[in-house]
Amino acid sequence: MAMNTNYLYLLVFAALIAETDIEVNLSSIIASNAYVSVLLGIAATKAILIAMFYQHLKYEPKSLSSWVIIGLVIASLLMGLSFVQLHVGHP
Amino acid sequence: MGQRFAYSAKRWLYTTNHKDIGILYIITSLFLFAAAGVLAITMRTQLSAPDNNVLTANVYNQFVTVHGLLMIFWVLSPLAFGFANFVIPLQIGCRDLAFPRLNSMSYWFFLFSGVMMILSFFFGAAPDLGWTLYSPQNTGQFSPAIGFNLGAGALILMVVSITMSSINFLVTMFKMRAPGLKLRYMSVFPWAILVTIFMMLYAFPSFLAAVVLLYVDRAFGTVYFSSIQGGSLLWDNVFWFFGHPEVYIVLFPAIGIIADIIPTFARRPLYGSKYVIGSLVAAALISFVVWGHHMFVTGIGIASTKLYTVTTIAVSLPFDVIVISLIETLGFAKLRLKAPALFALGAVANFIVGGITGVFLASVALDYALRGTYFVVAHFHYIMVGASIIGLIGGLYYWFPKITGRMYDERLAKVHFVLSMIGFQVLYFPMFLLLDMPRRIVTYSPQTDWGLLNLTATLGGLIFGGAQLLLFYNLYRSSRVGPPSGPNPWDAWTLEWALPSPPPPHDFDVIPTFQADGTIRFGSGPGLPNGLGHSNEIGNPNGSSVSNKTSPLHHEGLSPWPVLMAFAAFIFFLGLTIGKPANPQPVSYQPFWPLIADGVILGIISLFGYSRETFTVHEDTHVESWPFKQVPNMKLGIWTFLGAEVIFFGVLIGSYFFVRTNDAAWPPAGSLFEIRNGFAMTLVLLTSSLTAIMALASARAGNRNGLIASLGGTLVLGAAFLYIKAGEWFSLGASGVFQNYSLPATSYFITTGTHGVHVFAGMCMTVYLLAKAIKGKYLHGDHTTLEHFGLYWHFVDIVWVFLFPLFYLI
Repeated sequence: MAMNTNYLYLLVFAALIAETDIEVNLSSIIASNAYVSVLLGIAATKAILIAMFYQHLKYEPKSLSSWVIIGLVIASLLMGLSFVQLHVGHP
Repeated sequence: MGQRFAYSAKRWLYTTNHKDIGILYIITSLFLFAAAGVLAITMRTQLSAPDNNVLTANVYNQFVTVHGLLMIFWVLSPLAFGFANFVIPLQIGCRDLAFPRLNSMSYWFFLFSGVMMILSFFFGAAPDLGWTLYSPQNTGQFSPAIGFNLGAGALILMVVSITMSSINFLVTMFKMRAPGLKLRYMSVFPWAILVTIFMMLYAFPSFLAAVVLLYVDRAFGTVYFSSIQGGSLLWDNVFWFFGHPEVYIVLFPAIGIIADIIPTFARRPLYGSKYVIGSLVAAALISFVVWGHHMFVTGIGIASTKLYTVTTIAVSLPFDVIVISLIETLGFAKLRLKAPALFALGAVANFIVGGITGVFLASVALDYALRGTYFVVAHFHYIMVGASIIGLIGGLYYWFPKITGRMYDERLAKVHFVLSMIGFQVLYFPMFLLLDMPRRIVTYSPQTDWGLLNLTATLGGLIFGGAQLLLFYNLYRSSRVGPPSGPNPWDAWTLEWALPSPPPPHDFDVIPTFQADGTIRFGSGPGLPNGLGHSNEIGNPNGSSVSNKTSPLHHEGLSPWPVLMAFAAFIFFLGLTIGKPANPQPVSYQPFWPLIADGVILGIISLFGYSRETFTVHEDTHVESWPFKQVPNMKLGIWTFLGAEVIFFGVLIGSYFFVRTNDAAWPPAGSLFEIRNGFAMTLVLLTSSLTAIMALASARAGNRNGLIASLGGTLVLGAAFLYIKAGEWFSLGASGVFQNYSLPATSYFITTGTHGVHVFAGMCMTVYLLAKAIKGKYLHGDHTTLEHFGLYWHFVDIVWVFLFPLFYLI
């Protein structure tokens, strides 16, 4: 069991390193408009991998995951609505 | 005598008992209420006549600002949380908060932060631009006084206190309710506190981030708030994102108290209690999307103004439901007009006026006309003072017998009520008529017609302020010579009234059980009504009250470390903020290093003592703990803390986005910060996450060498990360980036610096864990500390996962 868990941790680590490598080389692959979104998307998947497997959220009750997500939603609201203020609805 | 004093001093300094800490909060906040009141009376005296010169403009501005800050942060919330500390564990049937020493630390951080705010008057000048501390006036260029920095330090300490308190209450209320006490059975006061804490947890980190950004701007000359791309609009966003929920944070506990008092004195259950609770939850959620209505005149887009108009009107609807429920509860009731009931009714009346005038300000057109006038001052004082303070005073009279075991002087309390209400209306109603008088002006010309209304308001202020002297006198005298109150003088229904007054140190000999038939049972004793008033039978709990004998579960619960840690933080921040200006332009400060060193040394000693102290907190398994039944208390506490951290870093990253998307001349990726540095740091930190999780796996497998090697690896990798980071900073410093900050340098310096501090804190924890692991700990199923450390360390890693692309690749 311990062996399997360690193997999983190594697998996650390998995925994180691979994704980092993709991030660094992404500018030569993706056109500029989608670049930032894809980059942040990769960062988000890395964060999810860490949270699920290293912080064990995958094995915790759903209520705890939801608790964490509430913070993310509120932070996103602040960022999203501030962005709207700056860039939407101006003449 | 001397021995008795020493014992008493030790008890109050070292106590971790929730009731003692509640009393400390209440007394401290009442003293600060008096201090803020003196500032207010002096301001009103200045405004009582045209061209008055009681105060200079400079001093007046400081008084306005510190009055507002004290009332909002050091009076309203702490008074409410004094009650919450005392009453909530009693109402939900547990013996203390989840983390008693953390609770003590919260109080001492709060106290020292208040002292620091008052000290700011003695270092040049206190903050002097209103409690909103708007940018760019808050920058060093316009407010160079060191006292302002001290004020910023006080606010940081205060937010730390509030965050600790929020985590503690959330874990307690989610995880430690008496058997059978489902969330839906809780009365409105605990619900109001729960919802308030939820808002505190997610709103205050935004304020903390704002003040940290401001402090760094002032101390190190960064330019977040003095740049055009950031400036006032950035401050408005990060401040009001916290600021509007803050209005409800100070209001909700008062609503909870009122909703406990009115049914008790009307002898009827609260009408539509579930709708009241639902309304509190709805208002709390909506409160996070209304902050833009404070920014209608700042030039935000039309789409935003429409959105915030809608959300602001929407947030008023739950309050309508609450008011209607309270009024319906009074219908045909035989109301006993005791002082708590009078104050509760007065608060509802004031709240209706304050609430309706708030809806006016949701209209963009009216907001343009009324913004920054005394109409707004009247509106928010009807909420803050009329509803919150008056409601909280109702709570003070309501729970005074429970806290002290004595009755207050009812006749004096009624005189206090009458004078308070008359004084309040005479003070604030004229301000509604001062539609064209700008707020925060020090004086006005005789040519205006503002003189009579201002004079009236000042007279009202004197009546209101004088009335509070009756309150202090009544409380002081009655606590010494008032007649014994008995356990339940109001025939109230909530659980605290089933206990003796004052309750014994351990609260309950037997943890009560909430029964499905609407009663509360102590062991095999008779059932009592469960406090919701659903049972028709109004029982007399006195006969079943818990005995006053000391439970074997009770321990003294004294710890010196919380107060010492708070004091260490106080002198550390004092050293950080009272230094002399090093450069006049941009204004930056040279910290006072001896104090900082003292703070660090005392902090390390306290932390060491804290961690070595044997302080057992009993975690009961037979309790109601939905929705976190399978999550241990400490783990829930850590995750809750990380939730607050998400907002804190969210604001830092959001601020970066804000200035970046607002700045067309941002340098391309790789031109300022070398990608290979960022890449190397990412690899190092990701590897440290692997070693951290391997440490836990080794501990679980009982592998001592693996544990030590993994923890050692984590420490080395953390150090390597900081080494690369320091190299990058020195290199940037040598190239002149930090001399004249640009926005890219500002955002990089603050965001990665804050992250670096988190890495350093994690390394300190690793040293502690490593020392313990070398001594053979964590190998026998006692590895939860490692797991908790891992949650933090991986979170710090996650933050970097976002910082790397944002600063190095985009």
